[in-house]
Amino acid sequence: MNRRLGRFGLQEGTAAVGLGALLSGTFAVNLGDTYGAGNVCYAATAAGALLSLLLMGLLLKAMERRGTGDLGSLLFDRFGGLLGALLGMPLILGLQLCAVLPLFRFTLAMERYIFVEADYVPVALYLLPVLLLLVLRGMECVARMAKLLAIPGAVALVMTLYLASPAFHIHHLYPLFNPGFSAFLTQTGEALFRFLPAGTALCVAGKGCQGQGHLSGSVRRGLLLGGAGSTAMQLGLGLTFFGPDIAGMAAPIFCMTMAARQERMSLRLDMLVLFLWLMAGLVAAGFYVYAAALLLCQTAGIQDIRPVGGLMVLGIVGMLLLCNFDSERILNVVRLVYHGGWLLFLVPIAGLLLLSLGKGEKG
Amino acid sequence: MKRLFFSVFLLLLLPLGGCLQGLPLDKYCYVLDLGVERGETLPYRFVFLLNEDTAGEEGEESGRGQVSMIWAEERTLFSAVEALSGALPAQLSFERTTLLAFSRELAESGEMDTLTAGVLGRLKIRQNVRMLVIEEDMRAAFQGFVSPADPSMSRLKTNVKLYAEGHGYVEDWGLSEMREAFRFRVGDALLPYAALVGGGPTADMAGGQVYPYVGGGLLGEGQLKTSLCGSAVFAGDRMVGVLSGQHTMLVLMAKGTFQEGHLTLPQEDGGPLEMALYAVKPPKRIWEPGRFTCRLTLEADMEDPLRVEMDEKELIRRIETYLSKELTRVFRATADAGADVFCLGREAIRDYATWTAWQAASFPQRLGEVEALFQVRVKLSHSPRDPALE
Repeated sequence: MNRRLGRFGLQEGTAAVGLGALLSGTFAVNLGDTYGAGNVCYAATAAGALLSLLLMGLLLKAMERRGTGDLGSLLFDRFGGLLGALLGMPLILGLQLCAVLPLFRFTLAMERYIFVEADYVPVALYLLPVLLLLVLRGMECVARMAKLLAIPGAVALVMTLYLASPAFHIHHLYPLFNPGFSAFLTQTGEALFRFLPAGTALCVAGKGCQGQGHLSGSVRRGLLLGGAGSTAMQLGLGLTFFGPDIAGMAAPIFCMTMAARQERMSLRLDMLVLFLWLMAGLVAAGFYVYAAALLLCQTAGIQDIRPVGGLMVLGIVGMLLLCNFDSERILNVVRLVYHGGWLLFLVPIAGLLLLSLGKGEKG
Repeated sequence: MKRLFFSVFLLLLLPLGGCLQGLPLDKYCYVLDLGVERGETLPYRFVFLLNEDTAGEEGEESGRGQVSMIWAEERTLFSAVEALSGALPAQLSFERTTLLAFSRELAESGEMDTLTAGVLGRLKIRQNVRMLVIEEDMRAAFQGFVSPADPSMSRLKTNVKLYAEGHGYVEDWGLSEMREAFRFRVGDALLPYAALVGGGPTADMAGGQVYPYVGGGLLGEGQLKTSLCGSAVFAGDRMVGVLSGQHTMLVLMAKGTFQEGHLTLPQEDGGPLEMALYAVKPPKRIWEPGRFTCRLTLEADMEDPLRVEMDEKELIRRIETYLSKELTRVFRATADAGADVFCLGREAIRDYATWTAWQAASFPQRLGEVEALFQVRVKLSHSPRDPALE
């Protein structure tokens, strides 16, 4: 068996989940639809993070009750081989999509603001070897990298908010709740797609944790930290620009750092911060892709993760290249992912919870 | 093998982001400042102040290249860039652009919005690039900003900052802020205004007897032939007038962006009184539909307290009355022109539940009906009875 899981501790697990939640919560947002009519995203992000925390808490309880060390085993235990594998498919797809969405934003920002003379494709292709190496080295490497990048990730968050802070104005949040309560509920649902994957990914690699206690602690702390960070980022973004303005931006978080005039000293800090985000984003993407590959191995009984992981990385880069095509069909698919992606996670998780936490269901 | 693998891994991880495309280390012409005015043959004339980077050439430091001015008449900025690219030895880059200037004529015709629409995305001009309106003749004005000691016009940018923070004579506006004001009308733009010394109008839209610090009306001449002199007032995307430096200071006081400045208080008996003013705390702005109340607390530092032959209370009353009257006059002048430079929209928008309702209300058009009350409280820091020198 060569699944490259390794062993990692509470801090590594927390960092992996935290980075995943922060990156997805901040960058995997459908800007046009979310901000087009106004801004409730910061509130929906907070609500989505809390709801995800609750759902993941229940899932962890179910895993503890059934005595399974990872999500793949729980699927197998509750649904059997075939149905378990089938229910694992949406999770695998969802994890891969979650890896693509923030990377697409970073690639766009890099192509537009850093490598201004380059095309999108060479910038996107550069991510391939980095991602490939991360995934092939396995979960322990990903988790340790996440721990290493936790502080740069936090620095990126603080620096972004600091650089944008002179442009913060409370009137940018008005008209308050312009899109209405139904939009808030819809966006809260969509926000699940940004937070559930991080928790789910660690549950998939749960056997690498030093016990169930560490797994639960990592997921809870990571989601809490990542959720709080991404809510702060969305609120900062909302304070910097009016909602309809954000809707038309390709890289609003990067634009946010350029919104206020800076002194000479901090003039190029925005670019440095973008690289910090990119580094954290690559590790988060590596985490998702590894988890997707591992879940496929667990449900399909594949012993060696390397070919699966390698193919998935190729698939991710392929999707990244497709995202740049200005085709109506692709745009519709991307919109569908943003709107309905959360169901890819909610349906299997809800099924597992129903079967695992029902009356009389004990391990 | 393991060591080799790990070294490659580290090498790739260190930059973590990059580009596979081979880009030549070309010489670049960095556009430092960009000016747009009406053209003689084609619709617009685009004036570029360039810094030709000599990076890569032996023995020379990056960014120490020649500064030169070029221009082209074209229909759009993109076509001007394309036209000039063929006539330059190096590629044009807007990465270091820090100033975007428009002529008064274009500002008044409302063309600034259209002209700036694409520059953020396609030309990659930074969002926080400084905005400026210039009275006339962009080339002469740019030339006037340049001196042998300061060929890159950086003194102008320092002056904008200094005037904004140390005097309150102008407000520092960026491109994204300006476009936001044009688009959403939650407060209108008040861009720094510059003119050639000796040219332009000598009165501002609010009138009154302040130093004619407007449109080239400077009573003096320095080494720079162009100077900052007040603010261009916008109603939406159209410039509707000019405010003097001192009137701009009053607007900033009410907006809450004033830090410190200088006030000349005219006196009927005797010469004018000079004082430094400081903002003690942010103004309290109260908006009720149709009524705006602004409570300001300032500190006045008398420059020559011994010269004032007046009771302290009387002096405070005079300063407060003067400021309150001037604020009301400037407010009326700008509001009647449909310009929300006092940014009442920032409070008024809170009464609206949706963007559609806000836009349908056409708030700026109803500004003329708004009753404004400015309550000024002044504290003397060096009062006539207690001079600092005693």
